[in-house]
Amino acid sequence: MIVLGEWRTDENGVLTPVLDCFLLGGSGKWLAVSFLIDSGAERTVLSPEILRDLDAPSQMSLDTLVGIGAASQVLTVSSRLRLQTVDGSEVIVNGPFFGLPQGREGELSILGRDVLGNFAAILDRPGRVIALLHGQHHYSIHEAA
Amino acid sequence: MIIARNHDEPELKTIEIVPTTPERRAENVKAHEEWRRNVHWFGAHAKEIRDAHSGKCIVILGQELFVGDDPREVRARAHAAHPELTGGEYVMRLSIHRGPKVYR
Repeated sequence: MIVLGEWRTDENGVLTPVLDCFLLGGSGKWLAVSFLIDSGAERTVLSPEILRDLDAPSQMSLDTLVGIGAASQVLTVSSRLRLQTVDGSEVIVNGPFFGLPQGREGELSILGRDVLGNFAAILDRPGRVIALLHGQHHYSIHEAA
Repeated sequence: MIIARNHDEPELKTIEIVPTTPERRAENVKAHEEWRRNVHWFGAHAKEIRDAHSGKCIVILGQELFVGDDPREVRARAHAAHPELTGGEYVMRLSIHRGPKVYR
C-alpha cells in the first residue's frame, strides 16, 4: 500500500511534512486531522485543540513526555486513526494515543514512530514527495546515469 | 523530538487493512484530492492569511477560507457553503509564533 502526504507551506512560509488522517471521535464520527510527520517523536501525540474537538474518552496517563523543556503530563485517548491509500482503501491504526491537555495554540498533532514504524517512510523535500509504504510496495534507490 | 517515559506500551501500534468498497474508495480518493488542493491553496495564500488571522482557527474547503474561534463551528460553516464536498477540508489553528518551531 502507498499512503501519500504533502509538503505544506505553513503560515511562516516553511515547508512542513503533513499527512491527512482521520481520528475516531467520541460521537462515533471521524474527524479529519492533519498530522506533522515527526520521525524524532517516539509517540504520536494529539494537540490540545484536536483533543477538545475529538471529544474522545481519555484519562490521565501514567506516562510523561519529554522533549525540549520540562516533562509534560499527557492524557491517554481512546481512539483509532484512519489512513487512506492512493486507491482509497482504508487502513486503521489502533490506539490509544497520547494527547496534550494544554499547550501552545497552533501546534499540529504529531505522527510519531509508534505509527510510522509500520511503514517505509519517504520524506523527500527536493522531490516534494511524502509516502508511507507497506506490504507489497517497496522503494529502490538508483544512481543517476 | 518527543520521548515517552515510564511507558509499558509496545513500540508500534497495530494496523489493520480494512475491506473498502469501490464506492467508498472513490469517495476517499475524491476527498484526498480536495484536501491536497486545499493544502496547496493555503500555501499560496499563507502569508496573507497569517497576517490577517493569527491565532484563529481556519478551515479551507473548496479552496475557500473560513475563519473563526471554534473549529466545530467553522467546519460546519465550511460544509454548509460546500454541500457538494463530503470531505477534504484542511483545518488548522494559525500559530501566533513567528520563529522556527521545534516540537517539544
